[in-house]
Amino acid sequence: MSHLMIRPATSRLLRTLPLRRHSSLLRTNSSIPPNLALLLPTCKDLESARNELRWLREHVEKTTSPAKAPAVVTELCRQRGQGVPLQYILGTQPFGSLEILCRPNVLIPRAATESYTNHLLDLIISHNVIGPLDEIKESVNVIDVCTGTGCIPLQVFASLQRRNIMVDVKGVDVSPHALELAKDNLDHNVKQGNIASPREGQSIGFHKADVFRDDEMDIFSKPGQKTWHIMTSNPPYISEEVWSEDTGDVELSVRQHEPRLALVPERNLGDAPEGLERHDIFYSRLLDIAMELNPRILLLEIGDDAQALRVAEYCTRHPFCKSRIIELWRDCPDIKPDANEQTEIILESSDKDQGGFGRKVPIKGSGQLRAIYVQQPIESMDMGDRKIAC
Amino acid sequence: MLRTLSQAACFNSGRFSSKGVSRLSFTTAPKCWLKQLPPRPGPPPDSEIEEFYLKGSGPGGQKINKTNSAVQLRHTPTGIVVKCQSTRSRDQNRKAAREILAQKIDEFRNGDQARSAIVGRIKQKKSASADKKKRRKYKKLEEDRESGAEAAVEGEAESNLAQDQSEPVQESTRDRGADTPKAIP
Ligand SMILES: C[S@@+](CC[C@H](N)C(=O)[O-])C[C@H]1O[C@@H](n2cnc3c(N)ncnc32)[C@H](O)[C@@H]1O
Repeated sequence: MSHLMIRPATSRLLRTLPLRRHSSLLRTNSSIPPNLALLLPTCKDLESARNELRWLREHVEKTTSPAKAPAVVTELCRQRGQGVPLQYILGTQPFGSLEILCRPNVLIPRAATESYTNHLLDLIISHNVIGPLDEIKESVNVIDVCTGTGCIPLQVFASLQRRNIMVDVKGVDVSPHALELAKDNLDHNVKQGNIASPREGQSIGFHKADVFRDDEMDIFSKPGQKTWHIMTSNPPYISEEVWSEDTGDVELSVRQHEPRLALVPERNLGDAPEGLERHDIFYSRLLDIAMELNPRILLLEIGDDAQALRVAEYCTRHPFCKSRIIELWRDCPDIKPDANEQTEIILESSDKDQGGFGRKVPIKGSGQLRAIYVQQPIESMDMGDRKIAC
Repeated sequence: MLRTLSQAACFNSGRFSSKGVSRLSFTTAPKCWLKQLPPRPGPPPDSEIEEFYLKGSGPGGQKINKTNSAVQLRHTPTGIVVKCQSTRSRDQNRKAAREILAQKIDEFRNGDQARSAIVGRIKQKKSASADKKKRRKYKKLEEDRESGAEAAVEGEAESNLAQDQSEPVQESTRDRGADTPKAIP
């Protein structure tokens, strides 16, 4: 009976609503179909529960006999409602033009990662940010550090390959689970026809290395080594405190089901340099690696606005970013910012060379700050035979 | 300035579901109908499309694993807004939303001469004649039963024109301008 009790505010609302709406409001939880009700604790709202139920059904239709399907759908709804990530249940997550396999022990690719990877590709293909592609003598060389499922390098490879561009892509991770899955993802997407088997002048590979070990990272920066055009990384960036406290900052489903190694920098990685916090430790290390590899573009995912500003400010003091362009990208870098969204920021720089002036950094897109983009100015790129003039 | 615009959602479009594909095997539409149709309208140029950042679909970084893949587009010259969340892939939703937008613009500009309107009329005619046929068939069945003959009722066949209709949930709304979905400042 309790669902029939209406609080005063609600009843006032009801009186002012047209009759059609009355009935839908009065029908409370009791009228929600059972499968949707099972999903609600995780999905929170009916719209996303309906979407997920549809995707679960489509999955079951493809994988189960019609007789068993209804029971399987209900069981999967129950698991999902208890917080198991949808992608671990379905086994996949779309990422750009790819279908990425997902398994426990490896982080599920996020939408923001997909957005900035696509934006980066658009800049490379349509805006010559690494120079005109037909003037690159060797292949376009790409390295993704902390690669997880391999989603970023696989999408980069697929997209450049489709345009007949010579490309050499490497993904690096310390986790054997991630490396195995990344390799499976290459095979899977070749089988699905999303990636053609690499042709001459095109290659993609995954390598085991710990970012913090010089001896394991050295192979990528041997003297006489080719030019790196692009370095990307989505490193672990959540602080120990935020991870373990019940602040609700980290979604329960993430904390209970996704690997901590992928999300929280380990304790034994040393102290962060001045201006950074302990959980920013990967960024100072990645900038040092960038110093060695000297990529034309460096793109780093960051966790939130505060971390973005700390790391961007650190970048302005780091020798890698000297005479390079720095930008901050929001969740959707190719969507127009709304009226409340700042489009640039002045970072206080303590660098003496900057004469104590702040450095103006553009902010692209809409949403939360999500990535830091560092680019060599096009006019200073050595294209092999000649410098290109702009 | 208040404009009337339609908000379309493309869930259950059937276009990407396995159901939609199996439906196509029941094709019965005569080819001559297809020939009379104007070509499917192409999506407007990107410069006329504004894509919204949907907070709900908003990526939240590593801390949150959202499954919302909704894409919402606005055609700036007409103010038409469409939203698509039929698949888990934002890339595919983006493409589907552009197709639906093209259809809505066609309807807005060409009224009853729009492709979808013509398709709708053909479907209506067809279902009317199917009704007539059905009535005839049942009458015959009755007669057969009375006469003791066996007859099987065929499954309902659906025209392949059905895939033209994305079964959008349509809602007339005003151009809300300022209170379109907002991102975190
Ligand atoms: C946030 S996940 C990113 C995965 C993937 N790039 C993505 O965007 O979905 C971080 C990855 O870094 C890896 N990782 C953690 N510590 C590492 C280290 N010291 N060296 C190399 N990789 C590391 C984890 O195994 C995990 O796959």
